[in-house]
Amino acid sequence: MAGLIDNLKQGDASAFSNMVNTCKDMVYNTAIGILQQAEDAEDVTQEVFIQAYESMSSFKGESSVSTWLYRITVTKSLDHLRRKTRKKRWAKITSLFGLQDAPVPEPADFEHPGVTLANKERSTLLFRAVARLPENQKAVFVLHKLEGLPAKEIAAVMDISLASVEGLMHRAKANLREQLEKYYKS
Amino acid sequence: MRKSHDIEKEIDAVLNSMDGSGRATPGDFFYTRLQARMQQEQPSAIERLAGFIARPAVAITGIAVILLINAVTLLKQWNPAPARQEQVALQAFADEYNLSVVTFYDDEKHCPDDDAN
Repeated sequence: MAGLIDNLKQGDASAFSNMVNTCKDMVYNTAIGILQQAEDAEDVTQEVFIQAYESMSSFKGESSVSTWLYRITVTKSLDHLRRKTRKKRWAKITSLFGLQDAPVPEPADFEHPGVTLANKERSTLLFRAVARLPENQKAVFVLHKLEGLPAKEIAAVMDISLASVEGLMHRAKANLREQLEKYYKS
Repeated sequence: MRKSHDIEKEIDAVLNSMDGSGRATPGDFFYTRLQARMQQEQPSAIERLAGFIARPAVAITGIAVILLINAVTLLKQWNPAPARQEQVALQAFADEYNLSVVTFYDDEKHCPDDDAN
């Protein structure tokens, strides 16, 4: 791995291509879990690798390449979500003043491409609830459930303590449970 | 009671519905699309210069240098140079005691009178 990093720092195109081909699925899967839109996830995945390429010289190797890439992915995905929320809010305001005729359409329910057929309906419900979670809880839940990362690695990715990760995970599950209870009881 | 139990069971099933699922993957030729975007986004010389100037360290240093030059200029205007002050004082002293330097022309001018005396 140290050799790969050295090659990347020297601007070796084949080393970069190797890194992209090895890590593109994990980056895309994390991004799609947070963003729940294939086009947005592809955009963010590209941005992640562009940033990784540009900031390779500043990578000190204190964490593994995958942790570093996960960190960029989570940051970029959450930034993307914030931008979208701002746009939606602005569209609502402009529509109130009659400056915009058509309201921004709500995206359809998200179906994760990797889920088994038997779980499709349930996972759609799960993602609808995940979309309503606060940012950090969402990121922790996606990293744990979709990528199967242990709490220790999630702590390294999010740059928070292990106890914080456990707390966020606990709150995320409690929030999801509450939302699902409301859904099934209504 | 049974209904509540069923709901709990269903919620657990939903929460675990992603267990064992595969990874989502980007479309084919992802690297080609990435390369195309990277080439498209390469900044021009002006953009690179703007990016360099916009760096916090460069921008702050630039502003500090401009402020320093301004401060020095203002201080110079308010306080006249000490050398000039000294010169003015010396001139006043020389005038007071008639210690002005006698030049060649002054000698010429005064010579006839001296001869007469």
